[in-house]
Amino acid sequence: MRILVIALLAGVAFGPNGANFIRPNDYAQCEHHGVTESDCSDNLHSITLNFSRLVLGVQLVLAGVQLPSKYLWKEWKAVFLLVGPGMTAMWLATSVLVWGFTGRPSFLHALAVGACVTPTDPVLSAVIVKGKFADHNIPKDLQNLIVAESGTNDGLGYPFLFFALYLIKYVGSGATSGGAGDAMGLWFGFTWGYTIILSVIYGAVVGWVAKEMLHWAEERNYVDRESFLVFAISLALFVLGTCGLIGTDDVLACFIAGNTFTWDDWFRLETKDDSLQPTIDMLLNVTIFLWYGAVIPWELFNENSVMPIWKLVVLGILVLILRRLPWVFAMHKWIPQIEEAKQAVFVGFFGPIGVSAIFYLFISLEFIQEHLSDGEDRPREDVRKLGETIRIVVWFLAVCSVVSATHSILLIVLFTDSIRSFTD
Amino acid sequence: MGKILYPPDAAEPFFHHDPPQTVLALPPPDMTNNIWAIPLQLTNFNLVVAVLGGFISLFGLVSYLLKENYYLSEARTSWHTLGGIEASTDVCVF
Repeated sequence: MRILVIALLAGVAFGPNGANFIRPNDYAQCEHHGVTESDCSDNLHSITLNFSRLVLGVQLVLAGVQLPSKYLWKEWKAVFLLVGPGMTAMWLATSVLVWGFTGRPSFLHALAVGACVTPTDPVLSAVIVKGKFADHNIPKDLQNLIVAESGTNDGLGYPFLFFALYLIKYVGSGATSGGAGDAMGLWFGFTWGYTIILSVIYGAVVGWVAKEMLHWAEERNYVDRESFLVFAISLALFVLGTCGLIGTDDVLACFIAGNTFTWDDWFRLETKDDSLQPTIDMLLNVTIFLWYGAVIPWELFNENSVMPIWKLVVLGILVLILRRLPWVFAMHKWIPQIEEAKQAVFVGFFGPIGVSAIFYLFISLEFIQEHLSDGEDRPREDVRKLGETIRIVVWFLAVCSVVSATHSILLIVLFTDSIRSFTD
Repeated sequence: MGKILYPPDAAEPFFHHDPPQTVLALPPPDMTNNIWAIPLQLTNFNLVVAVLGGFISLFGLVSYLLKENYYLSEARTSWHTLGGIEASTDVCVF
Protein backbone atom coordinates (compact mmCIF):
# COMPACT_ATOMS: atom_id res chain seq x y z
CA MET A 1 0.00 0.00 0.00
CA ARG A 2 2.61 2.46 1.04
CA ILE A 3 4.55 1.86 -2.13
CA LEU A 4 1.62 3.09 -4.18
CA VAL A 5 1.45 6.35 -2.26
CA ILE A 6 5.17 6.75 -2.80
CA ALA A 7 4.67 6.03 -6.50
CA LEU A 8 1.91 8.63 -6.64
CA LEU A 9 4.12 11.21 -4.95
CA ALA A 10 7.01 10.29 -7.21
CA GLY A 11 4.71 10.81 -10.17
CA VAL A 12 3.95 14.30 -8.89
CA ALA A 13 7.62 15.01 -8.32
CA PHE A 14 8.73 13.77 -11.74
CA GLY A 15 5.67 15.05 -13.56
CA PRO A 16 4.92 18.41 -15.12
CA ASN A 17 4.35 20.02 -11.73
CA GLY A 18 7.80 18.96 -10.53
CA ALA A 19 10.97 17.98 -12.32
CA ASN A 20 9.11 17.47 -15.60
CA PHE A 21 10.76 14.16 -16.48
CA ILE A 22 7.39 12.57 -17.17
CA ARG A 23 5.65 14.77 -19.73
CA PRO A 24 2.12 13.56 -20.41
CA ASN A 25 1.40 16.52 -22.69
CA ASP A 26 4.38 15.62 -24.82
CA TYR A 27 3.22 12.01 -25.21
CA ALA A 28 -0.24 13.23 -26.18
CA GLN A 29 1.44 15.28 -28.94
CA CYS A 30 0.18 18.54 -27.49
CA GLU A 31 3.23 20.47 -28.63
CA HIS A 32 2.94 19.34 -32.22
CA HIS A 33 1.98 21.81 -34.82
CA GLY A 34 -1.71 22.02 -35.61
CA VAL A 35 -2.91 20.03 -32.60
CA THR A 36 -5.73 21.84 -30.86
CA GLU A 37 -6.26 21.86 -27.14
CA SER A 38 -9.25 19.54 -27.34
CA ASP A 39 -7.29 17.02 -29.43
CA CYS A 40 -4.57 17.19 -26.85
CA SER A 41 -6.88 16.51 -23.94
CA ASP A 42 -8.61 13.76 -25.93
CA ASN A 43 -5.28 12.06 -26.51
CA LEU A 44 -4.33 12.40 -22.89
CA HIS A 45 -7.68 11.01 -21.76
CA SER A 46 -7.46 8.03 -24.06
CA ILE A 47 -3.92 7.26 -22.90
CA THR A 48 -5.00 7.33 -19.28
CA LEU A 49 -8.19 5.36 -19.98
CA ASN A 50 -6.41 2.64 -21.91
CA PHE A 51 -3.62 2.43 -19.39
CA SER A 52 -6.17 2.03 -16.60
CA ARG A 53 -7.98 -0.62 -18.62
CA LEU A 54 -4.78 -2.52 -19.18
CA VAL A 55 -3.94 -2.52 -15.48
CA LEU A 56 -7.49 -3.46 -14.47
CA GLY A 57 -7.73 -6.25 -17.04
CA VAL A 58 -4.49 -7.91 -16.04
CA GLN A 59 -5.15 -7.43 -12.33
CA LEU A 60 -8.62 -8.89 -12.57
CA VAL A 61 -7.55 -11.98 -14.46
CA LEU A 62 -4.88 -12.50 -11.81
CA ALA A 63 -7.46 -11.92 -9.07
CA GLY A 64 -9.76 -14.45 -10.69
CA VAL A 65 -6.90 -16.92 -11.01
CA GLN A 66 -5.90 -16.55 -7.39
CA LEU A 67 -9.35 -17.18 -5.97
CA PRO A 68 -10.02 -20.78 -4.94
CA SER A 69 -11.86 -23.06 -7.33
CA LYS A 70 -15.51 -22.22 -8.16
CA TYR A 71 -15.38 -19.36 -5.67
CA LEU A 72 -18.09 -17.21 -7.19
CA TRP A 73 -20.35 -20.22 -7.46
CA LYS A 74 -19.86 -21.40 -3.88
CA GLU A 75 -19.88 -18.02 -2.18
CA TRP A 76 -22.45 -16.31 -4.33
CA LYS A 77 -24.55 -15.29 -1.36
CA ALA A 78 -21.90 -13.25 0.38
CA VAL A 79 -20.65 -11.76 -2.89
CA PHE A 80 -24.20 -10.95 -3.94
CA LEU A 81 -24.95 -9.19 -0.66
CA LEU A 82 -21.91 -6.98 -1.08
CA VAL A 83 -22.44 -6.38 -4.77
CA GLY A 84 -26.23 -5.97 -4.93
CA PRO A 85 -27.52 -4.07 -1.90
CA GLY A 86 -24.00 -3.09 -0.88
CA MET A 87 -23.14 -1.33 -4.11
CA THR A 88 -26.54 0.32 -4.34
CA ALA A 89 -26.20 1.73 -0.85
CA MET A 90 -22.67 2.93 -1.58
CA TRP A 91 -23.83 4.55 -4.78
CA LEU A 92 -26.75 6.39 -3.18
CA ALA A 93 -24.76 7.47 -0.14
CA THR A 94 -21.95 8.94 -2.22
CA SER A 95 -24.41 10.57 -4.60
CA VAL A 96 -26.32 12.28 -1.80
CA LEU A 97 -23.07 13.62 -0.37
CA VAL A 98 -21.90 14.86 -3.76
CA TRP A 99 -25.30 16.36 -4.42
CA GLY A 100 -25.19 18.29 -1.17
CA PHE A 101 -21.67 19.55 -1.71
CA THR A 102 -21.84 20.59 -5.36
CA GLY A 103 -24.64 23.07 -4.76
CA ARG A 104 -27.40 20.70 -5.91
CA PRO A 105 -27.24 20.97 -9.71
CA SER A 106 -29.45 17.97 -10.38
CA PHE A 107 -29.59 14.73 -8.49
CA LEU A 108 -28.96 12.81 -11.73
CA HIS A 109 -25.60 14.52 -12.11
CA ALA A 110 -24.69 13.55 -8.59
CA LEU A 111 -25.74 9.97 -9.33
CA ALA A 112 -23.31 9.90 -12.25
CA VAL A 113 -20.49 11.13 -10.02
CA GLY A 114 -21.42 8.64 -7.31
CA ALA A 115 -21.47 5.77 -9.79
CA CYS A 116 -17.87 6.44 -10.80
CA VAL A 117 -16.62 5.88 -7.27
CA THR A 118 -18.98 3.03 -6.36
CA PRO A 119 -16.81 0.07 -7.40
CA THR A 120 -14.08 -0.80 -4.96
CA ASP A 121 -10.72 -0.93 -6.58
CA PRO A 122 -9.15 -4.34 -7.21
CA VAL A 123 -5.64 -2.92 -7.37
CA LEU A 124 -5.74 -1.28 -3.97
CA SER A 125 -7.78 -4.12 -2.43
CA ALA A 126 -5.26 -6.67 -3.60
CA VAL A 127 -2.52 -4.66 -1.97
CA ILE A 128 -4.46 -4.38 1.27
CA VAL A 129 -5.12 -8.09 1.62
CA LYS A 130 -1.54 -9.04 0.84
CA GLY A 131 1.45 -8.81 3.10
CA LYS A 132 2.33 -9.25 6.72
CA PHE A 133 -0.40 -7.13 8.21
CA ALA A 134 -3.13 -8.92 6.33
CA ASP A 135 -1.75 -12.38 7.07
CA HIS A 136 -1.72 -11.64 10.79
CA ASN A 137 -5.06 -9.95 11.07
CA ILE A 138 -7.37 -11.05 8.29
CA PRO A 139 -8.47 -14.65 7.91
CA LYS A 140 -7.97 -16.23 4.50
CA ASP A 141 -11.74 -16.48 3.89
CA LEU A 142 -12.19 -12.79 4.35
CA GLN A 143 -9.22 -11.98 2.12
CA ASN A 144 -10.77 -14.01 -0.64
CA LEU A 145 -14.11 -12.32 -0.15
CA ILE A 146 -12.56 -8.87 -0.40
CA VAL A 147 -10.76 -9.84 -3.60
CA ALA A 148 -13.90 -11.42 -5.07
CA GLU A 149 -15.99 -8.40 -4.20
CA SER A 150 -13.62 -5.89 -5.69
CA GLY A 151 -13.30 -8.01 -8.82
CA THR A 152 -17.01 -8.43 -9.33
CA ASN A 153 -18.17 -4.95 -8.55
CA ASP A 154 -15.55 -3.40 -10.74
CA GLY A 155 -17.25 -4.42 -13.93
CA LEU A 156 -20.68 -3.83 -12.43
CA GLY A 157 -20.18 -0.10 -12.19
CA TYR A 158 -21.60 0.17 -15.71
CA PRO A 159 -25.30 -0.23 -14.80
CA PHE A 160 -25.07 2.41 -12.08
CA LEU A 161 -23.22 4.87 -14.25
CA PHE A 162 -25.36 4.43 -17.34
CA PHE A 163 -28.59 4.53 -15.36
CA ALA A 164 -27.64 8.09 -14.50
CA LEU A 165 -26.18 9.00 -17.89
CA TYR A 166 -29.12 7.76 -19.95
CA LEU A 167 -31.57 9.56 -17.68
CA ILE A 168 -29.53 12.75 -18.01
CA LYS A 169 -29.70 12.36 -21.76
CA TYR A 170 -33.44 11.78 -21.98
CA VAL A 171 -35.04 13.47 -18.98
CA GLY A 172 -32.38 15.99 -17.99
CA SER A 173 -33.45 19.60 -18.22
CA GLY A 174 -31.79 20.06 -21.62
CA ALA A 175 -33.25 16.92 -23.20
CA THR A 176 -34.65 17.48 -26.66
CA SER A 177 -36.21 14.12 -27.39
CA GLY A 178 -37.26 10.86 -25.80
CA GLY A 179 -38.35 10.20 -22.27
CA ALA A 180 -37.75 7.95 -19.30
CA GLY A 181 -38.96 4.99 -21.37
CA ASP A 182 -36.14 5.43 -23.88
CA ALA A 183 -33.64 5.71 -21.11
CA MET A 184 -34.87 2.53 -19.43
CA GLY A 185 -34.98 0.69 -22.77
CA LEU A 186 -31.38 1.59 -23.41
CA TRP A 187 -30.44 0.74 -19.88
CA PHE A 188 -31.96 -2.73 -19.90
CA GLY A 189 -31.21 -3.56 -23.50
CA PHE A 190 -27.84 -2.04 -23.88
CA THR A 191 -26.22 -1.83 -20.49
CA TRP A 192 -27.54 -5.10 -19.08
CA GLY A 193 -27.90 -7.07 -22.27
CA TYR A 194 -24.99 -6.00 -24.39
CA THR A 195 -22.53 -4.81 -21.81
CA ILE A 196 -23.01 -7.01 -18.75
CA ILE A 197 -24.54 -10.30 -19.88
CA LEU A 198 -22.57 -10.51 -23.11
CA SER A 199 -19.31 -9.85 -21.32
CA VAL A 200 -20.04 -12.47 -18.65
CA ILE A 201 -20.81 -15.08 -21.29
CA TYR A 202 -17.82 -14.08 -23.40
CA GLY A 203 -15.46 -14.11 -20.44
CA ALA A 204 -16.74 -17.49 -19.27
CA VAL A 205 -16.41 -19.04 -22.73
CA VAL A 206 -12.93 -17.68 -23.35
CA GLY A 207 -11.71 -18.69 -19.90
CA TRP A 208 -13.11 -22.20 -20.31
CA VAL A 209 -11.70 -22.67 -23.80
CA ALA A 210 -8.31 -21.40 -22.65
CA LYS A 211 -8.34 -23.86 -19.77
CA GLU A 212 -9.21 -26.79 -22.03
CA MET A 213 -6.59 -25.82 -24.57
CA LEU A 214 -3.91 -25.44 -21.95
CA HIS A 215 -4.82 -28.83 -20.50
CA TRP A 216 -4.65 -30.42 -23.92
CA ALA A 217 -1.28 -28.89 -24.70
CA GLU A 218 0.15 -29.61 -21.27
CA GLU A 219 -0.79 -33.29 -21.44
CA ARG A 220 1.15 -33.60 -24.66
CA ASN A 221 4.09 -31.61 -23.28
CA TYR A 222 3.81 -28.93 -25.91
CA VAL A 223 4.12 -26.04 -23.44
CA ASP A 224 7.35 -24.83 -22.00
CA ARG A 225 7.52 -23.41 -18.51
CA GLU A 226 7.78 -19.73 -19.45
CA SER A 227 4.76 -19.82 -21.73
CA PHE A 228 2.80 -21.72 -19.12
CA LEU A 229 3.43 -19.09 -16.47
CA VAL A 230 2.68 -16.16 -18.72
CA PHE A 231 -0.50 -17.74 -20.09
CA ALA A 232 -2.84 -15.97 -17.66
CA ILE A 233 -1.40 -12.60 -18.58
CA SER A 234 -1.62 -13.16 -22.31
CA LEU A 235 -5.18 -14.38 -21.77
CA ALA A 236 -5.90 -11.10 -20.00
CA LEU A 237 -4.54 -9.11 -22.92
CA PHE A 238 -6.60 -11.12 -25.38
CA VAL A 239 -9.87 -10.70 -23.46
CA LEU A 240 -9.19 -7.03 -22.88
CA GLY A 241 -8.45 -6.36 -26.52
CA THR A 242 -11.32 -8.30 -28.03
CA CYS A 243 -13.87 -6.94 -25.54
CA GLY A 244 -12.56 -3.47 -26.20
CA LEU A 245 -13.04 -3.98 -29.92
CA ILE A 246 -16.69 -4.92 -29.61
CA GLY A 247 -17.21 -2.32 -26.91
CA THR A 248 -18.55 -4.51 -24.13
CA ASP A 249 -17.51 -4.61 -20.48
CA ASP A 250 -13.89 -5.73 -20.74
CA VAL A 251 -13.21 -5.44 -17.03
CA LEU A 252 -15.97 -7.82 -16.00
CA ALA A 253 -15.10 -10.23 -18.82
CA CYS A 254 -11.52 -10.37 -17.60
CA PHE A 255 -12.55 -11.26 -14.05
CA ILE A 256 -14.98 -13.94 -15.19
CA ALA A 257 -12.39 -15.34 -17.60
CA GLY A 258 -9.86 -15.55 -14.77
CA ASN A 259 -12.40 -17.38 -12.64
CA THR A 260 -13.45 -19.98 -15.18
CA PHE A 261 -9.84 -20.40 -16.24
CA THR A 262 -9.06 -21.85 -12.81
CA TRP A 263 -12.44 -23.46 -12.29
CA ASP A 264 -10.73 -26.75 -11.43
CA ASP A 265 -7.96 -25.02 -9.43
CA TRP A 266 -5.32 -26.62 -11.63
CA PHE A 267 -3.59 -23.50 -12.94
CA ARG A 268 -3.74 -21.75 -9.58
CA LEU A 269 -2.01 -24.61 -7.75
CA GLU A 270 0.57 -25.00 -10.52
CA THR A 271 1.57 -21.34 -10.39
CA LYS A 272 1.02 -20.71 -6.69
CA ASP A 273 4.68 -20.56 -5.68
CA ASP A 274 5.81 -18.72 -8.73
CA SER A 275 6.71 -15.07 -8.45
CA LEU A 276 5.79 -14.01 -11.98
CA GLN A 277 2.23 -12.92 -11.17
CA PRO A 278 3.11 -10.78 -8.14
CA THR A 279 5.96 -9.26 -10.12
CA ILE A 280 3.74 -8.20 -13.02
CA ASP A 281 1.20 -7.02 -10.48
CA MET A 282 3.70 -4.80 -8.72
CA LEU A 283 5.15 -3.45 -11.95
CA LEU A 284 1.74 -2.42 -13.29
CA ASN A 285 0.61 -0.89 -10.00
CA VAL A 286 3.66 1.24 -9.53
CA THR A 287 3.63 2.40 -13.15
CA ILE A 288 -0.01 3.39 -13.14
CA PHE A 289 0.26 5.33 -9.91
CA LEU A 290 3.35 7.12 -11.19
CA TRP A 291 1.35 8.06 -14.27
CA TYR A 292 -1.61 9.20 -12.18
CA GLY A 293 0.67 11.38 -10.12
CA ALA A 294 1.78 13.07 -13.31
CA VAL A 295 -1.65 13.53 -14.90
CA ILE A 296 -3.89 14.35 -11.92
CA PRO A 297 -5.27 17.87 -12.51
CA TRP A 298 -3.89 19.24 -9.26
CA GLU A 299 -4.39 22.85 -10.23
CA LEU A 300 -8.11 22.19 -10.71
CA PHE A 301 -8.58 21.19 -7.08
CA ASN A 302 -7.64 24.65 -6.01
CA GLU A 303 -9.27 26.67 -8.74
CA ASN A 304 -12.49 25.47 -10.24
CA SER A 305 -16.06 26.53 -10.73
CA VAL A 306 -17.54 23.62 -8.79
CA MET A 307 -16.45 23.97 -5.20
CA PRO A 308 -13.62 25.41 -3.09
CA ILE A 309 -10.91 23.14 -1.80
CA TRP A 310 -12.10 23.04 1.81
CA LYS A 311 -15.42 21.68 0.64
CA LEU A 312 -13.60 19.04 -1.38
CA VAL A 313 -11.64 17.99 1.69
CA VAL A 314 -14.75 17.74 3.84
CA LEU A 315 -16.50 15.82 1.09
CA GLY A 316 -13.53 13.45 0.85
CA ILE A 317 -13.56 12.72 4.57
CA LEU A 318 -17.32 12.23 4.69
CA VAL A 319 -17.27 9.92 1.67
CA LEU A 320 -14.52 7.82 3.23
CA ILE A 321 -16.56 7.40 6.41
CA LEU A 322 -20.13 7.18 5.11
CA ARG A 323 -19.76 5.58 1.70
CA ARG A 324 -19.33 2.03 2.87
CA LEU A 325 -18.81 1.60 6.57
CA PRO A 326 -22.45 1.85 7.77
CA TRP A 327 -23.83 -0.50 5.13
CA VAL A 328 -21.22 -3.19 5.48
CA PHE A 329 -21.57 -2.98 9.23
CA ALA A 330 -25.33 -3.36 8.95
CA MET A 331 -24.99 -6.39 6.69
CA HIS A 332 -22.13 -8.18 8.40
CA LYS A 333 -24.40 -10.55 10.34
CA TRP A 334 -25.45 -12.19 7.08
CA ILE A 335 -21.95 -12.55 5.68
CA PRO A 336 -20.40 -15.64 7.24
CA GLN A 337 -16.84 -14.60 6.34
CA ILE A 338 -17.09 -11.55 8.58
CA GLU A 339 -17.01 -13.10 12.02
CA GLU A 340 -16.56 -10.11 14.30
CA ALA A 341 -17.53 -6.47 14.40
CA LYS A 342 -13.86 -5.58 14.13
CA GLN A 343 -13.61 -7.26 10.76
CA ALA A 344 -16.79 -5.56 9.60
CA VAL A 345 -15.19 -2.23 10.38
CA PHE A 346 -12.13 -3.31 8.45
CA VAL A 347 -14.10 -4.40 5.39
CA GLY A 348 -16.26 -1.31 5.66
CA PHE A 349 -13.39 1.07 5.85
CA PHE A 350 -11.46 -0.48 3.00
CA GLY A 351 -13.50 0.15 -0.05
CA PRO A 352 -10.69 1.82 -1.88
CA ILE A 353 -11.38 4.25 -4.71
CA GLY A 354 -8.67 3.99 -7.29
CA VAL A 355 -7.95 2.76 -10.78
CA SER A 356 -11.51 1.64 -11.44
CA ALA A 357 -12.90 5.04 -10.49
CA ILE A 358 -10.54 6.68 -12.95
CA PHE A 359 -11.66 4.18 -15.57
CA TYR A 360 -15.32 5.13 -15.07
CA LEU A 361 -14.40 8.80 -14.95
CA PHE A 362 -13.13 8.58 -18.52
CA ILE A 363 -16.01 6.37 -19.63
CA SER A 364 -18.44 9.07 -18.54
CA LEU A 365 -16.40 11.86 -20.13
CA GLU A 366 -16.49 9.84 -23.34
CA PHE A 367 -20.28 9.51 -23.09
CA ILE A 368 -20.68 13.25 -22.55
CA GLN A 369 -18.57 13.90 -25.60
CA GLU A 370 -20.33 11.42 -27.85
CA HIS A 371 -23.93 11.57 -26.79
CA LEU A 372 -24.46 14.76 -24.84
CA SER A 373 -22.66 17.21 -27.11
CA ASP A 374 -23.35 18.79 -30.45
CA GLY A 375 -21.24 18.31 -33.58
CA GLU A 376 -18.50 20.62 -32.35
CA ASP A 377 -17.97 18.88 -29.02
CA ARG A 378 -19.80 21.53 -27.09
CA PRO A 379 -21.69 19.88 -24.22
CA ARG A 380 -25.42 20.49 -23.90
CA GLU A 381 -26.48 23.49 -21.86
CA ASP A 382 -27.41 21.57 -18.69
CA VAL A 383 -24.36 19.28 -18.65
CA ARG A 384 -21.80 22.01 -19.21
CA LYS A 385 -20.43 21.62 -15.71
CA LEU A 386 -20.95 17.88 -15.37
CA GLY A 387 -17.66 16.90 -16.98
CA GLU A 388 -15.68 19.21 -14.77
CA THR A 389 -17.55 18.09 -11.66
CA ILE A 390 -16.87 14.44 -12.39
CA ARG A 391 -13.22 15.10 -13.11
CA ILE A 392 -12.60 17.08 -9.97
CA VAL A 393 -14.61 14.99 -7.53
CA VAL A 394 -13.49 11.57 -8.77
CA TRP A 395 -9.81 12.46 -8.98
CA PHE A 396 -9.94 14.06 -5.56
CA LEU A 397 -11.73 11.12 -3.95
CA ALA A 398 -9.21 8.73 -5.49
CA VAL A 399 -6.34 10.76 -4.05
CA CYS A 400 -8.07 10.84 -0.65
CA SER A 401 -8.62 7.11 -0.71
CA VAL A 402 -5.06 6.25 -1.66
CA VAL A 403 -3.60 8.60 0.92
CA SER A 404 -5.99 7.59 3.69
CA ALA A 405 -5.39 3.88 3.25
CA THR A 406 -1.88 4.16 4.66
CA HIS A 407 -3.14 6.00 7.69
CA SER A 408 -6.02 3.65 8.17
CA ILE A 409 -3.65 0.71 8.33
CA LEU A 410 -2.15 2.50 11.29
CA LEU A 411 -5.61 3.02 12.64
CA ILE A 412 -6.49 -0.63 12.37
CA VAL A 413 -3.23 -1.60 14.04
CA LEU A 414 -4.04 0.69 16.94
CA PHE A 415 -7.55 -0.60 16.91
CA THR A 416 -6.58 -4.26 17.15
CA ASP A 417 -3.99 -3.50 19.81
CA SER A 418 -6.44 -1.59 21.95
CA ILE A 419 -8.93 -4.43 21.71
CA ARG A 420 -6.26 -6.92 22.63
CA SER A 421 -5.17 -4.94 25.68
CA PHE A 422 -8.77 -4.51 26.65
CA THR A 423 -9.51 -8.23 26.64
CA ASP A 424 -6.19 -9.33 28.16
CA MET B 1 6.29 34.64 -63.12
CA GLY B 2 3.02 34.89 -64.96
CA LYS B 3 0.40 37.32 -63.99
CA ILE B 4 -2.06 35.94 -61.51
CA LEU B 5 -5.49 36.65 -62.86
CA TYR B 6 -7.66 35.44 -60.01
CA PRO B 7 -5.89 35.48 -56.68
CA PRO B 8 -7.85 33.15 -54.41
CA ASP B 9 -8.54 35.63 -51.61
CA ALA B 10 -9.72 38.22 -54.08
CA ALA B 11 -11.89 35.70 -55.88
CA GLU B 12 -13.61 34.50 -52.76
CA PRO B 13 -16.11 37.28 -52.17
CA PHE B 14 -17.26 36.94 -55.77
CA PHE B 15 -18.18 33.30 -55.59
CA HIS B 16 -19.11 33.13 -51.94
CA HIS B 17 -22.81 33.53 -51.54
CA ASP B 18 -24.32 31.51 -48.79
CA PRO B 19 -28.10 31.54 -48.72
CA PRO B 20 -28.70 32.31 -45.04
CA GLN B 21 -31.91 30.29 -44.85
CA THR B 22 -30.01 26.97 -45.22
CA VAL B 23 -28.01 27.75 -42.10
CA LEU B 24 -31.18 28.45 -40.19
CA ALA B 25 -32.85 25.35 -41.57
CA LEU B 26 -30.20 23.01 -40.12
CA PRO B 27 -31.55 20.71 -37.42
CA PRO B 28 -30.46 21.48 -33.88
CA PRO B 29 -27.00 19.99 -33.48
CA ASP B 30 -27.89 17.20 -31.09
CA MET B 31 -27.98 13.41 -31.47
CA THR B 32 -24.91 13.38 -33.67
CA ASN B 33 -24.15 9.79 -32.75
CA ASN B 34 -26.67 7.00 -32.83
CA ILE B 35 -26.95 5.82 -29.27
CA TRP B 36 -28.19 2.35 -30.22
CA ALA B 37 -25.24 1.66 -32.50
CA ILE B 38 -22.96 -1.14 -31.36
CA PRO B 39 -20.02 0.75 -29.90
CA LEU B 40 -17.29 -0.89 -31.92
CA GLN B 41 -14.02 0.67 -30.93
CA LEU B 42 -11.46 -0.31 -33.48
CA THR B 43 -8.70 1.65 -31.86
CA ASN B 44 -5.05 0.83 -32.27
CA PHE B 45 -4.71 -0.01 -28.61
CA ASN B 46 -7.51 -2.57 -28.67
CA LEU B 47 -6.24 -4.18 -31.83
CA VAL B 48 -2.65 -4.40 -30.66
CA VAL B 49 -3.59 -5.82 -27.29
CA ALA B 50 -5.96 -8.39 -28.81
CA VAL B 51 -3.45 -9.56 -31.41
CA LEU B 52 -0.57 -9.61 -28.95
CA GLY B 53 -2.54 -11.52 -26.33
CA GLY B 54 -3.93 -13.97 -28.84
CA PHE B 55 -0.54 -14.61 -30.39
CA ILE B 56 1.30 -15.09 -27.11
CA SER B 57 -1.40 -17.48 -25.87
CA LEU B 58 -1.54 -19.58 -29.00
CA PHE B 59 2.21 -19.58 -29.44
CA GLY B 60 2.59 -20.49 -25.77
CA LEU B 61 0.43 -23.56 -26.24
CA VAL B 62 2.85 -25.06 -28.72
CA SER B 63 5.99 -23.26 -27.65
CA TYR B 64 7.87 -26.32 -26.49
CA LEU B 65 6.89 -28.28 -29.57
CA LEU B 66 8.11 -25.53 -31.87
CA LYS B 67 11.31 -25.05 -29.98
CA GLU B 68 12.00 -28.74 -30.07
CA ASN B 69 11.43 -28.79 -33.81
CA TYR B 70 13.56 -25.76 -34.47
CA TYR B 71 16.48 -27.10 -32.50
CA LEU B 72 15.79 -30.59 -33.62
CA SER B 73 19.31 -31.73 -34.28
CA GLU B 74 20.73 -30.17 -31.17
CA ALA B 75 18.05 -31.54 -28.91
CA ARG B 76 18.11 -34.96 -30.52
CA THR B 77 21.85 -35.26 -30.34
CA SER B 78 22.00 -34.11 -26.77
CA TRP B 79 19.35 -36.62 -25.78
CA HIS B 80 21.07 -39.32 -27.76
CA THR B 81 24.42 -38.48 -26.24
CA LEU B 82 22.98 -38.66 -22.76
CA GLY B 83 21.27 -41.89 -23.64
CA GLY B 84 24.49 -43.23 -25.03
CA ILE B 85 26.48 -42.34 -21.96
CA GLU B 86 23.90 -43.94 -19.76
CA ALA B 87 23.80 -47.03 -21.88
CA SER B 88 27.56 -47.37 -21.91
CA THR B 89 27.86 -46.89 -18.14
CA ASP B 90 25.13 -49.41 -17.69
CA VAL B 91 27.04 -51.82 -19.87
CA CYS B 92 30.25 -51.17 -17.96
CA VAL B 93 28.52 -51.82 -14.65
CA PHE B 94 27.13 -54.98 -15.96
